[in-house]
Parts: sequence; C-alpha cells; structure tokens
Amino acid sequence: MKLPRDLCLGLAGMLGGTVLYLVARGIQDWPFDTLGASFFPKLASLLIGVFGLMLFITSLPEIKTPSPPKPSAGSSNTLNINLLFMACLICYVILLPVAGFIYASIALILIMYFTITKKFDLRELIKGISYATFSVLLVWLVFTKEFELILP
Amino acid sequence: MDTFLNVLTIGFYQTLQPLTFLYLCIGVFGGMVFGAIPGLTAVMGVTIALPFTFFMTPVDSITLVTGIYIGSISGGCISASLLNMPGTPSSVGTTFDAYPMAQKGKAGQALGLAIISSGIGGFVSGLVLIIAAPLLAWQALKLGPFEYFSLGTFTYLTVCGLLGGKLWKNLLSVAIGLAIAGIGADPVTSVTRFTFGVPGLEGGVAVLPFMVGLFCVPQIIDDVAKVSDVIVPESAKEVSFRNMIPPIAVFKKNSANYIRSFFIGLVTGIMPGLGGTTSNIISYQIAKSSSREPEKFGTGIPDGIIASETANNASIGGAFVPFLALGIPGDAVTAILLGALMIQGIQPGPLLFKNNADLVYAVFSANLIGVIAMVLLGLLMIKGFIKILSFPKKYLLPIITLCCVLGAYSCNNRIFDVWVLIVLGIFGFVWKRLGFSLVPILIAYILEPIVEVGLREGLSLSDGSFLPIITRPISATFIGLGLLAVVGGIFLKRMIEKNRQAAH
Repeated sequence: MKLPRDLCLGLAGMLGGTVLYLVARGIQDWPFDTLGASFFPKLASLLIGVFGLMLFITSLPEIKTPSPPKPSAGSSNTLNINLLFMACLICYVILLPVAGFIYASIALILIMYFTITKKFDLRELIKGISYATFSVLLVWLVFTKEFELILP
Repeated sequence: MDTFLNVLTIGFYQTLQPLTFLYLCIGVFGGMVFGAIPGLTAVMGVTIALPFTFFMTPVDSITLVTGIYIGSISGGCISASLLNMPGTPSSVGTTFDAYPMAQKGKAGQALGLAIISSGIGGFVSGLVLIIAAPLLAWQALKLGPFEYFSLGTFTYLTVCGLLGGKLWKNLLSVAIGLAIAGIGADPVTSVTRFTFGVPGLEGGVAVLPFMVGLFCVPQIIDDVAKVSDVIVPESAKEVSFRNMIPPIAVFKKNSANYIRSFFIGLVTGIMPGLGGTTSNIISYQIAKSSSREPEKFGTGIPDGIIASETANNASIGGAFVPFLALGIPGDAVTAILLGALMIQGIQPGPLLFKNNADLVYAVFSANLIGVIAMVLLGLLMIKGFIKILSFPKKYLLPIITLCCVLGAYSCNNRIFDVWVLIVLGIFGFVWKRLGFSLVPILIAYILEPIVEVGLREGLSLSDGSFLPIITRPISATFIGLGLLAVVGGIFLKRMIEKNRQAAH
C-alpha cells in the first residue's frame, strides 16, 4: 500500500506539534501577564498538531494500491545535484570558523563553479581557481574595508 | 499651504543645488544597487553612508540618506523580477507576480511596472508628507496595542480566506511561521522560548537570515542544478525603453489598486515598527482578496506587482511622518537617519519645524525629487542591470551566494546567523518540493510579533479584558474587515470551483 506524501506530512505535523507543545509547557509564565509567555508558543504547536491532523484526515482517501515505479532520469539527476549542493553549504558553514572566510569561500565557489559548468579539464580548473580567488578577495575587501565587517 | 509653497521654493532651491543634487542621485543609484543584490539591504546602505555625512552639511547629509532609502526600497524589484529573489524584504510581494511575468516573456513590462508603481507610491506619499505630517503623526499616537493586534489579525484572516492550494497545507505553513517567530526571548517578559538550549537562538531568528534563507537560498539551490547558462529569463535581454512602459489600460484598470495600496503603505509606514517589509505583504494579500480573479495572483499579473511596489514606496513617506513630527523613527532606516541628524546636532521632533524649518523643507523636496530621480534612473539603467545579471550563472550565482552569507553574517557578526540562513534555506527548498507555499510562513513570521505584543500589552492595560478589541473603533473595523475577508474568500473560492466544474 502506497502512503500519500501528504498523509506522511500530516503525521509529521501531528508528531511535531505534540513535541513542541510539550516543550512549550516548560516556558515560564509571569503572574502579572494575562496570557503569559507560553501562550503563543502553545497556540502555534497546537495549530501545527491540529492542521497536521486535518491534512492527515483529508489525505486518507488518497491511499491507493502500489503501481510500478516510473523512473524519471532527468529529475533524479537534478535532485542529486540539489542534495550535493545542500551538503556543500553545510560543510561550508562548518568550515567557516575553522578555515576562515577566504579559504572556505574559495572552496565553496570552486564547487559551485564546477557543479554548474560540469567540465573538469585543466583550462576550466585554472579559470575556476582564478575566478574563485579573485571574487572572494574582492568581496572580502569590500566587506571588510568599506563595510568594516569583521569576518571569520 | 504655506508649507507646500515653502517646499516648492526653499526646499527645491536647496535640493537642486549642484552638489546636493549630485548626492541625491548618488544616493538613489547606490541604493538601487544595494536593493538589487539579495543579502544587502537599505539599512546596510544607509549605515555605510553615515560616516561620510560627518563631513557634510545637514541638508546634504539627509538628502544623501533619503536617496539611498528610496533607491534601495525600489531596487529590490530588479532581482525580484529577474532572479525570483527579493533584493530587500520590501520586495518579497513583488516576486510573486514579477518573476512569473518575466518568465512569460514580459520582463520589460514587469520591471517598468514595478519602477513606475514605486514612483507613484513614493511621490504621492511625499506630497502627503508635506501636507499632513504633523496631523498624521498625532493621529498615529492614538493607535494603541489593540489596534496593532487587530491589524495583524486582519491580515492573517485575509490570508487564510484567500490562500490558493490545499487549505490545510497553507494553514500548517502559517502555524510553522508562528512557531519560528516565537523562537527566542519573549518580547514582553524576556523569558526564552523554543531555544532548545541553543544560546544562539536566544536572540530569535533575525529577519534578514530568515527572509534570505527562505526565499533566496532555495532559488540558488534550484538554479545550480538547472541546465540553462543564465538565470535571467531570455525575454529580459530584449528589454527596451518602449516595452518597459505598460499600456495605459493597465493603469486605468488598477486605479483602485493603486489608491488602496498607497493608503496601506502610508498607514503601515506611519505606524512605528512596521514599514516596507510589512506593507508590501499586507498590500499584496489585500489586493488578492479584493480582486475578482484572485486565482490569477501569482501567475504574473500586473495587479500583484502594483500592490507590492506602490505600498512599499508609499511607506517611505509614511515612515518620515512620525520621524519628523515627533522624533520617533518609523523603521530601522529612519532610526539611522535620527542618528545622522544627531551627528549634525539636530533633534527631530515638534520643534524641528520651528527651529530647522529649512531642513524639513529639504527632506520633503528630497523625497519628491528623489522619487523622480529613481524612476528616471531606474528606467534608463535597467538594461545595465540586466546585462550584469545576465552574466553566466557560473559567475553570478557564487557572488550572490556570498552576498547572502555575508548579509546574514553582518546582522549580528556571528556565524550562527549563517547557520540559520542555510538551515532555513534547506527547509525552504524541501518545503517547496513537498508542495507547500513559503508565503504563509513569511506572513506569519512577520506579523506574529505585532499580534502577540499588541494583544499582551493591550490586555495588561485593560486588566485582562478582551472587550477593547471590539469596542475601540479602529480595532473593531480591522477585525470586522478581516472576518468579511474570510467569509468573502470562502464564498469566492466556492464560486470559482463551481465555475471551473461547469466549464469542464
């Protein structure tokens, strides 16, 4: 039996809302405040749970018997690139305080450059490194000298 | 009338001095560049200019900063139309229709309409500023916490009444936006909420990383994987001055939209704490709820662009009202402007009109002339902006990514905000992939502080009574209009569904 996506999302909403509500119960309320600091967080978590439940219920009729999967080559390749890029962004932020803005950003730009061009010959490598170095240094100069931002 | 004549004579004389006019044009141009680049904001632009104002006369100083303010609010429409990334928070509403319009081969019209609408909103609010600044400022003081609560609730009700797509998905998005807005220190008692023991979350989720993360980063993730070499739609390369000017029929058809969006922008600009970020969203949603064809919003129609851009520029004049008349900044930019004037030894407030009337007239005329300069520069320079944005994406996207990262980092000078940017970016990408809309999350996030603080402060003042929500006239009006929007929206949706089924 294939579960519709919205059904799973509804379940996730119910679960998330419950967890958040339990967390919100721990928020301290002051006696002088009519509603209290916990009111809106509790309201938000209740709403997440309730709307998750409604999404779950309204998605129940969409449950159907499984059919053979239809491969879509183009979209899976795009998704792989999306996932790779998201992983790169996470690595970039982890690397920022360690390697500093300049080196981490050069690495990120190089990865983006080669992900977009999809060419890995020597000429593109030189172009990519030159562009990454130049652009990062330019941005660094502008933001540190002009905007007086202290970068990692 | 006297003030108006003084603006036309004294004010214009001062602003049209060669050096002062040059500063104004530099400010407008620089502001547009800042506005067009996602991650850079009006606040940043004005802050950078601030040290330069030490060496200027008060008139030159305030003219430069006003120019940057006007340019940056308007410049956001360029990236909104061409890249589907709002350049500033004030242009989020513009992306909803400007980008689809550009995708349909009407990039010129989208940009031209956005710039002209910005000009109309900004110019008329500049005129209102001259005529009614002190009067409007005193009226603004009458708005209490319940009015703020009712305004926020009105917008929530309007949004809920007319959201497209699956209702429960949209409501789930609203609830998630409420939860995100609740992260950090409680605005009334400073108790920490939803921080999960993470020290970085105690300050809450800042607007810039939130907005850039939710709207720009998913677009970047998408664009990296796309096959095309450039991000900008093909039709943008054929933009010419001719095809940027929309037909007169568009303006005639949207006359009510212009008037309504202008008033929304003006009122939200006057109310301290709101401003362009809120006005463009509220105006867009109200335009959608008032339209006979709300289902067309988001598909690239002029109405959405007009609503957003007219309101966000009208809020500039509105923000100056409490700033000049009472010394209360209407938003972050006018707060920095307050600093610029204090550097010059001038204190805004009721006495400003008496002691430094020349400066007041200069502000009024800078507003009017700045808007005209923005429209002219915008229409003339659009091709230049398009050329820059038409660089191959292997060169453009990395720079945009860096600007987004640095924009988020510059909020509080900490890497945690970059984490927020990336996490929200990934969340936004996944959320869109799962068939949800990001707009309800944004609306809920922007309005939650207004609604929560308004209600809780109001209840403190009324000893726990909810009655003032319906007994105070302005508050009751907002709530009534909101309920009307919900009922009307449900009725309208049913009618549209019936017509669709009848057509099939």
